[in-house]
Amino acid sequence: MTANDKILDHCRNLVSQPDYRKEYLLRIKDQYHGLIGYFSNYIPEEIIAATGFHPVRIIGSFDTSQSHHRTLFNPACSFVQDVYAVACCGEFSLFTHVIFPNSCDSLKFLRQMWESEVKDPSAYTVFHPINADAHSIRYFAEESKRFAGELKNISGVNFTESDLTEKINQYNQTRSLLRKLYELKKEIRTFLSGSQLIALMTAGLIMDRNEYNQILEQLVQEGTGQQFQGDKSKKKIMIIGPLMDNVRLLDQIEQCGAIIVDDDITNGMRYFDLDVQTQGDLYENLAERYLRSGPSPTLHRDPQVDIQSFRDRVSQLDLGGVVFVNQKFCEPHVHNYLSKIDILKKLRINYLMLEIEHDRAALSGRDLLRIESFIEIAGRNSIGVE
Amino acid sequence: MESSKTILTKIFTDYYLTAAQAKKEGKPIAYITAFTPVEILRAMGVVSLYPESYAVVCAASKKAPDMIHASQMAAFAQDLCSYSMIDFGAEHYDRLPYGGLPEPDILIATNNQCGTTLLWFKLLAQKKNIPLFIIDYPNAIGQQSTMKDYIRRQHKSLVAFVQEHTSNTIDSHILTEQVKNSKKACRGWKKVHELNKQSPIRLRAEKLINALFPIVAAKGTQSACDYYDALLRENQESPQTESTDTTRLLWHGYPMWFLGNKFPSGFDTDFQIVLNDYTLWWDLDYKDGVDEMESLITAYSNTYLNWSLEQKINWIMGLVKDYSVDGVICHANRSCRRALADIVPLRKALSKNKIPSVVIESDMANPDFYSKEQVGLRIESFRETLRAS
Repeated sequence: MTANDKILDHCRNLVSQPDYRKEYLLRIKDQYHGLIGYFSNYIPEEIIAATGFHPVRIIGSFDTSQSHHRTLFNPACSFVQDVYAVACCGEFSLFTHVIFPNSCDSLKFLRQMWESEVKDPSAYTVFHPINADAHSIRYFAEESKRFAGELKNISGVNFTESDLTEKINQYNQTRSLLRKLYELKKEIRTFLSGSQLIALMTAGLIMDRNEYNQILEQLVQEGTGQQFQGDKSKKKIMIIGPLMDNVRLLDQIEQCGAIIVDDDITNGMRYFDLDVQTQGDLYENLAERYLRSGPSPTLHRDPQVDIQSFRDRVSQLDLGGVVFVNQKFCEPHVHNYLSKIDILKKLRINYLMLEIEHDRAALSGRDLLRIESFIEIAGRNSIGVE
Repeated sequence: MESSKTILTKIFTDYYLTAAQAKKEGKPIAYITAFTPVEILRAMGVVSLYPESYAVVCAASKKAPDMIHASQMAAFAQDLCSYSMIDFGAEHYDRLPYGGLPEPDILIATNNQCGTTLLWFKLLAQKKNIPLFIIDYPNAIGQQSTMKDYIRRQHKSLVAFVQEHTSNTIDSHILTEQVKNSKKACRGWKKVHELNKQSPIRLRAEKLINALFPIVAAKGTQSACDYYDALLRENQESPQTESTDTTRLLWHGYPMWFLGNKFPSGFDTDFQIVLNDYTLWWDLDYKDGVDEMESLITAYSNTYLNWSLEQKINWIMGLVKDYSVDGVICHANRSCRRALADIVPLRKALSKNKIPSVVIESDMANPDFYSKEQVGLRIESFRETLRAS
């Protein structure tokens, strides 16, 4: 096994093996004031890190087999159902706090159930705005300061502006390295498969940030300057959806003859788009970056701007097709799908919608057949399989 | 003096006639969500229509299944909100109640009720290329000045947005009048409910549901105030037909618009719904002694679905006490994720206070999710529980 294989295995296990992930987090926990779990791309990780906590993104791949007696009413999305089920069994006791966003109704549902039924670790909500105009940036800067104040009270750490700048630089470095890796991927100039890249990306949401940046630097260095290494016969596809932590499913898609060259998923491009400026008011800079980076469907931007940027983006990729991977009952992404399909039809790009249960490790035979036939027809300038 | 029935008919007719007339006359039309500060729009001469309310009309006229089916054929998933499914389905349906809603010039959505309406209006804006304005009400704001300032700035931006797209300016006298009327209508609406604190009840729950339209769609108008005054006046006296020896129930959550009585059968003279808390969600808190804009900030931030869990439970437990409720029926409405969050904690609070409760899983507007037999069985066993207790 090469050094790179070991790194990729480590990342994959962090994402898809809950016990491995937990063991890792318990191992690194003592380096910090504690671990803070959070949901969504709209929680400023830099602030959590500046207070000496380690921000850990709550992803799925849980073993929910022991916890099905605690379920939420349908139609809470399957991710939220899983999180709730394992939270009731104490899965998140290693966190000092859990931070919720002001985002979709399923997460708001979970937030209130957390308050009532889970209780420990205690929950806190960051009320990020849903617009990205100047008023919203101003408000989010204030809200971020309030959040920082709460964390300072909890930790007793009164961080300085230069501490925050240091963390911003560290997270900017991550974003910049990930952008480089994604560029290599778009041009199929890296040995990483699409699923490996997404696993690597997702592992960063859990891993110690110094360790992670070192790994990324190494992989970028190896990728830069290398000649084409990918298989040109594979169909280039893009995946779109919410948090996509089911690496096995992505493997299955690629094994059908596709290569994932781009994504619009929570733990993909939307995470590393744009940097935080370090000149001027840091909280305003954070607010601007978080609100103006690749928006999730729960954030509002001019719909016509969204249409144009999506059209431009997919047009540049020479795609064979787009696969929407949606979690069951995820309302924002069903709407996102509905808003994108007309554009894809006009561009004559094939698309496929897969609706999955979040905790299901592999695709059903039926879904596999659908993917195989989709990949087969991908790039033939027909339209979608709904 | 006009009867409540006459006024209600006028309000209903005016709403649809004004909309149709406005389109002919080129007056600006906005589609808005249920808790949009409509007072600002009226003060700017904008005719405001509620697609959610129209979905209710479609559901009540038994047209929902066809429209929902039409949406599904257009790739909409079945688990989406049935109101939005009905309205998107209406695009493909030609026998619409009242001929359908006229096309809007602008769209305004808020997140003080749910996230669905934002997604729905965003999609509408994209598909029809109509300007959209979204107001973010972070939560029930209490005294937090940053949140208040944030909302105030958004309300100002709303005025600028409407002016940009309609060329209409705001008339501060109309705004004052609108807010005054909204406040009055809400107080009237609350007083009408409070009649049912007495035994026997003065208005059956389905009557209260039928009286909801003015507070939803005509809030801010004198007609809405007149309507609730008339309703109050007409129902002061104890009805001869109602029994005083009755088990008093609270229906928590949405009614079922597709049912004739809006609630399942099984409720009669000795087993009555005295209150449906959903209808009180429209009793907004317009503050006295502050300017109109401040009053609107408080009213539209503090909507039921925007409250913290603690606020919700305390409020419902207060209703249980004030209305001498013996049992609670919780409607787990699969269309509304936001409204599902309080059911488990509410039942715990009820149980602590020895108030029996039951959950009925169904939908507000899609009859495909309603099983008459299963719901009937639940209600029957709940009756048994209440008799035993």
